[in-house]
Amino acid sequence: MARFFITPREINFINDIAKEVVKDVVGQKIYYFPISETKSNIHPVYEEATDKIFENPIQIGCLVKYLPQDVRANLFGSEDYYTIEVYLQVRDLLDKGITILEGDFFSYGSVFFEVITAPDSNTIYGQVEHKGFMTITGKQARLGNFSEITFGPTDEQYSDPDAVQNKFVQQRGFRRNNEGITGDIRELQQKGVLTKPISGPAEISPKGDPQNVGSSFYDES
Amino acid sequence: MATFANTTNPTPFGFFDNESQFQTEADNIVTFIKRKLGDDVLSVELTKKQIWATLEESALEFGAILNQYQAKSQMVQFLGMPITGSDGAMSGSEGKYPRENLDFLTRVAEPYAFEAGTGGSYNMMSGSIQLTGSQQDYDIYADLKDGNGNLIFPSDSNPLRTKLQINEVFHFSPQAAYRFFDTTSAINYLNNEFSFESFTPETIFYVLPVFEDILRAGQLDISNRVRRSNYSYKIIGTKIRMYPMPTADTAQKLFLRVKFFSDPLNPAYQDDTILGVSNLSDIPFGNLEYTNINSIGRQWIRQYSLALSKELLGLIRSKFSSIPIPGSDLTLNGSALETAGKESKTNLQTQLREMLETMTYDKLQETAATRAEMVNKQLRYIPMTNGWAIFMG
Repeated sequence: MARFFITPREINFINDIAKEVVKDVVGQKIYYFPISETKSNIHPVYEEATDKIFENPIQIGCLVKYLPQDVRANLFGSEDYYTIEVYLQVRDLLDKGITILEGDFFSYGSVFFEVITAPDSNTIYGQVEHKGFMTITGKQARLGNFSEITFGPTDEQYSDPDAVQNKFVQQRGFRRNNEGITGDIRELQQKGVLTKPISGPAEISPKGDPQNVGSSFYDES
Repeated sequence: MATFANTTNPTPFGFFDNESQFQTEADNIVTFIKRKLGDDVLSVELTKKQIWATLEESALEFGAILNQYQAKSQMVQFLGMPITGSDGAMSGSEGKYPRENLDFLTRVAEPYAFEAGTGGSYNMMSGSIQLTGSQQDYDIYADLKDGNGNLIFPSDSNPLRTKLQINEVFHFSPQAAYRFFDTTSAINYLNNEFSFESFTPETIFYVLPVFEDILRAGQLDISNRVRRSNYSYKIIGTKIRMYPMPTADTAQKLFLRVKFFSDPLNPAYQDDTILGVSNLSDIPFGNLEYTNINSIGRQWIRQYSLALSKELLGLIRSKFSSIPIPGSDLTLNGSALETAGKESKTNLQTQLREMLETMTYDKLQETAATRAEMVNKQLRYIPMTNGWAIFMG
């Protein structure tokens, strides 16, 4: 669409809507483990490290295309093999200063994935400087290759306290919500076009369910 | 957080910006509208100024509709009044309950009074045509002159140069009175010749009943009509034909009273009401003061503001009917909001107009009359002691 109709303000609007869908409605997330180039002992000739050291994981809101696992039979039996596609909003990554690189790791549920491809994303209405979502493809990392503690939600078959996510808190452009610092920025708010929401981020949590049989909508502060 | 009071140019027109009650309402309406549109959960992409603009528009819309109906009720009283108030602005008469008058009615009836010669706003002019012996036809447009001998038709009194309307022709049979007492008196003939009509020169009177006078007058009139020449005329086009034909050159003149085209903007006197209120567009009804709008009106304004906000948000979201996200498109509810907003607006306007329709002064009169009839009807069912009673009000 023509730049005459899609100005930076419209781009901000589109990005904010996308962020809202991802972070305030859908609520899917990955934990991203970037490799620390300073902390890893990189071989001077091969420029590779046999033991990679990772920075602390970063929670990133995203949309996930969860593909059914491949089942591979081999000499020792069968093995589940997961592949995943994750869509990350480029403006959100820019806001948080995150660069996704091939070879980095992330977890989704109880499975760790290695980033296989992280191509440039699509553009918004053909404007080359404005990217929409980038699609990263992750292949399940071998246990020997990457091992970390898992962050929930993982699977309801587990008994870990965070195996099932019973609390989801919106971000809505607030620097901080009930779960801590969000790092969330909504451009229209930041640039003063829109004011902050009239109330704080709402949440789905046990606080919204007085019977304590599950979680429900809760927005009282 | 920016409040209405400390925002520069918070509304497009600023009609109510200085009213403290409007300022308070404006701050509250933001929460009201955003909450009603779901901002507690998901973003409502409306700025404060947009919401304040809807509030201002709603108050203006409410005032405009109210004023329309007020004008419907009161227009007759305001016609001709100055179009500006004491402060020079076209306002000051809104929200008032003026006294009734019949000026409009008398103004409408004025032309009839004028034709009847008992009033009106235009002057007539008398002129005369010099009669000539053996000439029966005269051209009013070419021969009618004023007392100074100037032609009347092309004069300044007839600037529009159009048809002269003949109001009166002073040409009629002599009165019977001069023959009342002595039909053969020489003095009577002299009186007639010198136009000393309508009186009697006699000095001898008889004591007779009045009906005798009346009967005699009737007899003399019929005698004149049957036995003598009739005085009459015909006017065709620009000409007047005299009956009977003048028989000799005399100094006698035929007098006519004529009027000219009645220029409605230039009556015979200075009339500033012509420049006054003439229709809905110049009646001095200004915006209603927000402070003077009661809770009924304010609730309508809030609801209308919400409807406008819905429509506005719908327009914003309709710019992109869908936003591409991975896997599918995200469809925005712009068109639904727009439709809902327009529907609400229409409903609110219809509701208000229907309500006001029942409250025009005409309708109130009808209602009062109906109520009076109903009271009478009710009273018929009240038993009265001994068959009659006096009600004390």
